[in-house]
Amino acid sequence: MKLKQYPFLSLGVILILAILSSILIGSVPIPIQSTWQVLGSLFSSNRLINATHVAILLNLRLPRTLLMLLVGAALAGSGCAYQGLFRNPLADPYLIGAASGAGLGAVIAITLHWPANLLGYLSVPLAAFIGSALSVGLVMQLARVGLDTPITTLILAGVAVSSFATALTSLLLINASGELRRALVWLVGGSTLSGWFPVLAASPYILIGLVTLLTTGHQLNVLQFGEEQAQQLGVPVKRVRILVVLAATLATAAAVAFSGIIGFVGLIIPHILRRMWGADHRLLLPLSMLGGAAFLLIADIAARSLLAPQEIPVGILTALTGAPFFLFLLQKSHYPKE
Amino acid sequence: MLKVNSLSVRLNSTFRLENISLQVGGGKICGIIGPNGAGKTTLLRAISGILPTTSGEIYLDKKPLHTLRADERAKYLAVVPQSAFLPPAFTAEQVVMMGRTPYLNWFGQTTIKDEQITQEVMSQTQTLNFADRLINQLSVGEQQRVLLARALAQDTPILLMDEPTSHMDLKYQIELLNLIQSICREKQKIILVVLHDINLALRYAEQLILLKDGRIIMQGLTQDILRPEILTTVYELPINLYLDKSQKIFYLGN
Repeated sequence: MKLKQYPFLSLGVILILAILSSILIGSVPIPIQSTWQVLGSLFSSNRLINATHVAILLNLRLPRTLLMLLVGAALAGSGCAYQGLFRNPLADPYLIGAASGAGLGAVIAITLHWPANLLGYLSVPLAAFIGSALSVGLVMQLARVGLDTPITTLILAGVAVSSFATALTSLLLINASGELRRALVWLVGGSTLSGWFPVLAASPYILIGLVTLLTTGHQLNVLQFGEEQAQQLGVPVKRVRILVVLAATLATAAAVAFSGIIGFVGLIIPHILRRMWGADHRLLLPLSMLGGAAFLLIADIAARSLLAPQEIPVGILTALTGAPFFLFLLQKSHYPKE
Repeated sequence: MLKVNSLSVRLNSTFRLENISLQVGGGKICGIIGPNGAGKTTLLRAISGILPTTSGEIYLDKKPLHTLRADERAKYLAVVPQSAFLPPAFTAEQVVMMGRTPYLNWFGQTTIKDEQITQEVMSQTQTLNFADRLINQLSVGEQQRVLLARALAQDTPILLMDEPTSHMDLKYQIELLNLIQSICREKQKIILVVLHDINLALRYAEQLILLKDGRIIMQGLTQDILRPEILTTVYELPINLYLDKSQKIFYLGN
């Protein structure tokens, strides 16, 4: 049996292993048996369990696992959608300004000191979404030359708007003296938020965004022939573009709002999967979401355990592994495929 | 009958299409010729509805096409583009199937009917034997036939083609145009083809539209337009005519 013939099966297995490892591995060792008991107690009325273990598993590891899973799926899924929409393998959430805009929005929201309840948490991704949508809108507007959007101007506009948003974010962080450390850690992708609030707050945005993206596979496929041909083939190009940008930006914004800037997931994961299983977006979109979730979970496990008890922000880890790996792929792609 | 009434397009400050009116009937290939920069491709793009027009109307018989949404218009009008860039991700068959897009739902679900039509147009264009190969690995001639099949799968009364024979060897040019000609006659399609080569225009088009600087200089029957004195003025090059054995006329510069 060749794994390559079963993309969903192989990625699904990797994801399940990653989820289990993420629940099992941590600074406090919890035996597997006890883990099963605690997880089992969710569905039964077993009271013979260790209260500390319950607290660690249910209030720390499980929500963190779910958050990383959602964020990974959101980043890789929207990265895949942006790449399909702009027909450029470099168009990830960071390059076209979605992430830095979201960062700016989120930092503005954080420095406003909203109350730390669910409502306060829900407002952070909303602010991130507004910031993200504004900067993507600005990038697309700036990149437009006449009737179309050339890739080079898109990237240039993305870099310029991103830098501007990042500079504003830094300015706000310097002024927000008390929050500085927390915000800085957040900015490099260290999830300092724990518990269920972030998961509950991020999931509606991410799920709506990703489910919407999953419906656009066929339209993105036709769009690979360019916007002109797509329109001549009957694709409502403007509607597809707005829908994809909104959905991908929504998912990205929610991910950034609760886990900070985690780079390279949205770039690398779709890239690898495209090389393995082709660029049919009806497959590539769901595969990217699975792969992104698994990758970020594994990165997060490494971030927690490499220098334990100290945690490395996961964003640093994804960049440290992602950037060289990406260069390796670029190097390899100089040779003809197969 | 495709009818275009005083169509004007402003592409940018230096180029525009001015007041284009034309009528093309079914069953006979209509060629568009003219020197570089005359606006041949722009005219096709404008008729296909992807350029904002400053004025003008486009009708199929009594049906206005210029007011239709993209997905509706694609049921009346298909375009065979120049095979400039083709995404590497899809097989020839998948590409042809994309021609069914105007009839599919948002998710692109296909029915048996769509598959039958795909098979039919692929056998018609002789593309079945490389149906499973990736489109970017095909030769230019094969790619162009796949793009023709995709347009045929759209099942439209109107076909617009932008230099379908460019970058092709002579043999493939003739093969493709023979195919287009037989489809045109058989299905009584309205076919507008941009042709670069005057010889090919002479051989295959029964009527011609001669463009220069964004305006129609002449339109009518091919033999009335392909005259040395007209071509010499339009192309700014002395052009002579020669007769071959079958009394076909061939034009050459100098």
